Amino acid sequence: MKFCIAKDYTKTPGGRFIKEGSFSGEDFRKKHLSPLYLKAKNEEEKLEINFDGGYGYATSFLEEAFGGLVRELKDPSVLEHLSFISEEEPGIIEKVIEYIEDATKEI
Amino acid sequence: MKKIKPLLFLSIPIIVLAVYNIYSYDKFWEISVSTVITASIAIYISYYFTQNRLDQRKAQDSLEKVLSKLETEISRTPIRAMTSETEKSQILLGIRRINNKIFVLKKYQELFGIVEDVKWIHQRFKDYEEFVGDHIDDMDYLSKSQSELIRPLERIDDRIDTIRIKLYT
Repeated sequence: MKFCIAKDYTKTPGGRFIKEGSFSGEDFRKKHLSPLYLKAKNEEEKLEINFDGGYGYATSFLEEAFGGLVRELKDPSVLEHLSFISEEEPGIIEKVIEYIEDATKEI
Repeated sequence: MKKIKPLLFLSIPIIVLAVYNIYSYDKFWEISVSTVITASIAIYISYYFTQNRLDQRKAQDSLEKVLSKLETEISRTPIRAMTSETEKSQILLGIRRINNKIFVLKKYQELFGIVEDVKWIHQRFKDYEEFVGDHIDDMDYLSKSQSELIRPLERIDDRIDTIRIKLYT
């Protein structure tokens, strides 16, 4: 299962919460990430998130989307069902993994 | 052609001297094994060190280029000339460019002994990035915080100078 944020959601992601503006991390998680993740997990597949094609990502967007996914589902196995592609900004993958791991420690 | 002339000038007397010795000295080709081994070791060692230093110099020059690019990105970040009309995409692209340069520095930080400096730059930029990210949809607020936002960038710029000096000392 694949999802390209720039193609399937937006090229200019916003901040953390829906109340702060459009295309926030919370909005992305609720509308796309969370349902797709659950679907992939049920089908014993991996959800491949592609970060390329957009203008870049605010850290608050990434933390709320991916760290928020762990907090929302209280699922410590999130990393096992996700894979990432980011050729335009390789450091993003490291950050997202860190956000997921930090959130996992807190649940 | 300019480079070849002095080379020719130096090599012709050596060749003449060698030819003269071959014809005038009967035992010219008789050489002991120990002399051959000594000469070979000397050639190998001098080649190894010269090549090694050359590779090191090339790597330093490449890192220097990354540092210069990072400096350029910091100096032309849209935050410096920000208004409430500034596009979100410009801010995001600026952050991406700087992040990518820091990523390269992180990759080679141990090779150049700049782990602490890169860690420092990474942390300062992370704070900056988080502040911008938290207000990415409020250009008015960001433009009012311009002076606050420029400060960490100026400090990163200073730290780049420190790394540059470290590289060549």
